[in-house]
Amino acid sequence: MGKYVIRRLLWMVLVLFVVAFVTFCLMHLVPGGPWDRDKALPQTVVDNLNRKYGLDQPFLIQFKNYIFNAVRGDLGVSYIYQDRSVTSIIMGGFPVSATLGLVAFLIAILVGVPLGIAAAIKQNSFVDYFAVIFATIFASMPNFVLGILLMIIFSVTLHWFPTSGWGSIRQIIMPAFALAALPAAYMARISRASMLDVTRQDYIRTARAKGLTERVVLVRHILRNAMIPVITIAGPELAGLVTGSFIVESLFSVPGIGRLFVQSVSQRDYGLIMGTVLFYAFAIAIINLVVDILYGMIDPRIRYD
Amino acid sequence: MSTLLDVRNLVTRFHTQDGVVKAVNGASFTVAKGETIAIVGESGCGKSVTSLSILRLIAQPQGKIVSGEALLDGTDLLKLSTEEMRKIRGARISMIFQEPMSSLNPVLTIGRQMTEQLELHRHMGQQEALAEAINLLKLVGIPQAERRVKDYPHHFSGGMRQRVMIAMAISCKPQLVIADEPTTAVDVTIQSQLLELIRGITDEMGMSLILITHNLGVVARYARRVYVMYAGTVVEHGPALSVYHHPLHPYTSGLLASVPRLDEPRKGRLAPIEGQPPDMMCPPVGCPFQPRCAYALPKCLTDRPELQEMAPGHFTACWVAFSGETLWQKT
Repeated sequence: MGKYVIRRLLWMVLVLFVVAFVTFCLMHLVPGGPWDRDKALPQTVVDNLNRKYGLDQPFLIQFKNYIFNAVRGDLGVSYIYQDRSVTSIIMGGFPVSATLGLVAFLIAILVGVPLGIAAAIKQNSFVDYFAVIFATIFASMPNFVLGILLMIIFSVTLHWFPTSGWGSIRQIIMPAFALAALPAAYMARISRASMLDVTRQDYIRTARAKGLTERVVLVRHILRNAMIPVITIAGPELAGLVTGSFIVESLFSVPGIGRLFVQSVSQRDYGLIMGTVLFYAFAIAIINLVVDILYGMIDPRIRYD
Repeated sequence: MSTLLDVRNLVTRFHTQDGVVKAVNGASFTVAKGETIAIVGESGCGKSVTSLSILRLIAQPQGKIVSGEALLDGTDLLKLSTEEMRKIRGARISMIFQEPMSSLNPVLTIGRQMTEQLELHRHMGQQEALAEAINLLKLVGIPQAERRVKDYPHHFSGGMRQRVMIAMAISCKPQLVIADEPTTAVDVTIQSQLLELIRGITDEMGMSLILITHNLGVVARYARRVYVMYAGTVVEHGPALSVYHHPLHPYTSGLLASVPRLDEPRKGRLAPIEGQPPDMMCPPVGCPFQPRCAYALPKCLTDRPELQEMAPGHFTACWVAFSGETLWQKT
């Protein structure tokens, strides 16, 4: 187990290196640069800026310098917010996105999974139809549409929640629901399908043939098997949610990392692009590792070697 | 011998999207205390559904037991409440299923899957149940039982899993064990070992055994009496040796001819039963076997034969046999 974690962490270093290289290449291949403005800067100014940030050096030298600095924990400075380091910008936005994402993730799990389970237990009942309709609506509604609907209903009409901003619980609720709707619908569908699949398995018939009560059959035999696919999709879902969403963060004016990420690309902010991409890859790698470990705890057929 | 289980005119149907499948149509049979009987027939003849109906384990909500009785020591299982029925499963009637690979829960240890039943029906504590599980595993011939009890099903081979299923089935000392094609999914070399094991243990513990199989060769060795099922009904039944040597129904004779034999010279190709098993959504009128029968009389097309005793304890439902001719008999 310990060896497995160490091996996975070593792999992660390699993955991060490849991600860094590919991103670095793509970033420089895209036309334009960080100094493009509506009104072009004089060439001498651009040359001086390039020299200051090392952009006049050969491509591979630039990449080497970036990696050496990154290994020492220095992700460089933002080319747009010139007085701030990339690390401090990410660390400013990430806790916001992570908080919002975690709340959304919890909502998705607490709504989606029980709904899916209830739908499967009472198949073809009112609960089941409700769950299917719920899942279909929220799986097909883009979150900016849902976000605006929430604003119209709960801010403009009912005045329950503020439309935007960050800092209080009342400001988290609407963006969290806007983010949670799609994963909740997805979780409900997967839980339902998985429950129905497990219920048909031979070993469930065996469990019933032993004379176990329906409650024991459900809790001990069905649920544990049915949750395996749910955990599989919950991991990437969590990674996606805590690393922020451009649309929802922009819509509700939440100062998270998702907005930074998209802005940095359109502004060719080389330092911030590399920083956010690497951070994103790092977060996903760590979360996947945690999910794989959890997976082995629930399914004994998974082996760590 | 007194009767343990008496199944009378069992009718089970499945309501599917395409129509009503009449899986079991008035099957009747009895099992005496301590007796081994066999139910034989092709795939789809209703033998598995019959056994699942007795335990009321047929798939819900499609499956429905329409009528009939299943008397266990005089109590009709089909009339019990859900809770009363649950207390019978595993405790008084247990079942060994066909597929050892998928009949054990992949995420629970073998030990846990055995102890849950012991705790439930024999009211044992955790430690006591675990010790009993180890004893049972030893009884069915699993080496290093103390260690293997902590293993998961995927650590076991198919034959070993079926041994675990056997251990589970006998763990609460039921009066009746139903083995539904217990050896279909395992190696030929393991098959006879498993059958010997099942037969040996049930005999020793005085349990009745229903052996469901499509192999009549197996039947002659292990069962005292045999019921041959076709299209959801019993078409012939009697003492195993009598049925084996003097089949009184052309279907039984066909089943016997389709089994390869090692004790006779090889005569070339095996003789299959021509045609397909009947479509159970609209079973044939008259004798159900009539469309595939080489000896069919005009009467067979219109009138359904009822079981009649032709020899001591040996019943058949065949108009041709009633007329005294058994053209299919081996000489």
